[in-house]
Amino acid sequence: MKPTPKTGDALPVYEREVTPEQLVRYAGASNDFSRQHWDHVFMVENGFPGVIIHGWFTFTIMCEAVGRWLPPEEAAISSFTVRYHRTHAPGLVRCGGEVVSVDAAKDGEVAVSVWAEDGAGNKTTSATIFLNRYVR
Amino acid sequence: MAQPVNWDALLARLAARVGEETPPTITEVDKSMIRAFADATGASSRVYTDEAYARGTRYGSLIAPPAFVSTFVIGHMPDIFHVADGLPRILHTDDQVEIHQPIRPGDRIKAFARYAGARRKDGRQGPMLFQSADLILERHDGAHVARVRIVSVSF
Repeated sequence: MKPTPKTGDALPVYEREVTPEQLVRYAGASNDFSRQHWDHVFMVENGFPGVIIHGWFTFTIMCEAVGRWLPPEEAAISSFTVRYHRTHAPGLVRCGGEVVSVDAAKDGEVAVSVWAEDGAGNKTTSATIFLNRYVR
Repeated sequence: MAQPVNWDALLARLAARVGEETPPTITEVDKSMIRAFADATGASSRVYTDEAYARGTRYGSLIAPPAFVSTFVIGHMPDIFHVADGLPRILHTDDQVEIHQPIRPGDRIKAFARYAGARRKDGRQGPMLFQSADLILERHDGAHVARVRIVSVSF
């Protein structure tokens, strides 16, 4: 078992390259075929430079950053809030974060603040993820 | 040329929709759906894909990754959100999610969305319409699985 996380502990940075082909794979696995994620011409006509990563897909990469640090065998995600600040184009997704609280009154529930940024260093997505260390 | 938006009429029309629900969908979750989602998202834990391993964990079986709740959105959202004349672009801005139970192979999941509200916010590029709706997921035995509040912005 991992030592009990403490407020201020940093998550290791996790990076992944997302390709347009992976957006199509994600669309199939998630049933989300919104044109924003595969139709380049449609996006250009609507004033965007091109297709964008599904917000939920970016969030799954943030979850992987958390899971590599505190795996699901040791803690289950019980709730989360995600905010999409700006669109994230295919390419680098870089995630990191830190522990913002550990609640002894809730069996050690851990709250983690997690961010994702693109290859230009723009923060595109932020989330607060709550994990229960003891699965009921 | 974008058409002008009559905000008072639009917000009154949307306020009348609060509580409106989409017809429920029923999805029987199987191992291949969970594996496809884990593979597509790069979720590396074996609790999602290795049945024998997962049986030995505290979950006792394979489970779906937390963000698998997003796969039930289709058919409910963005459909429940109003696409207003003069505000043709719509983007997803926030999710607020509570997970009550992990989703497992064999679960039959009932999903429906409930319209939660609309408001105007004035941004740098002019007025924007924020709308919210809740996706409710329930298991076949009636257990609450998750509530997913999704917020969208139109501009």
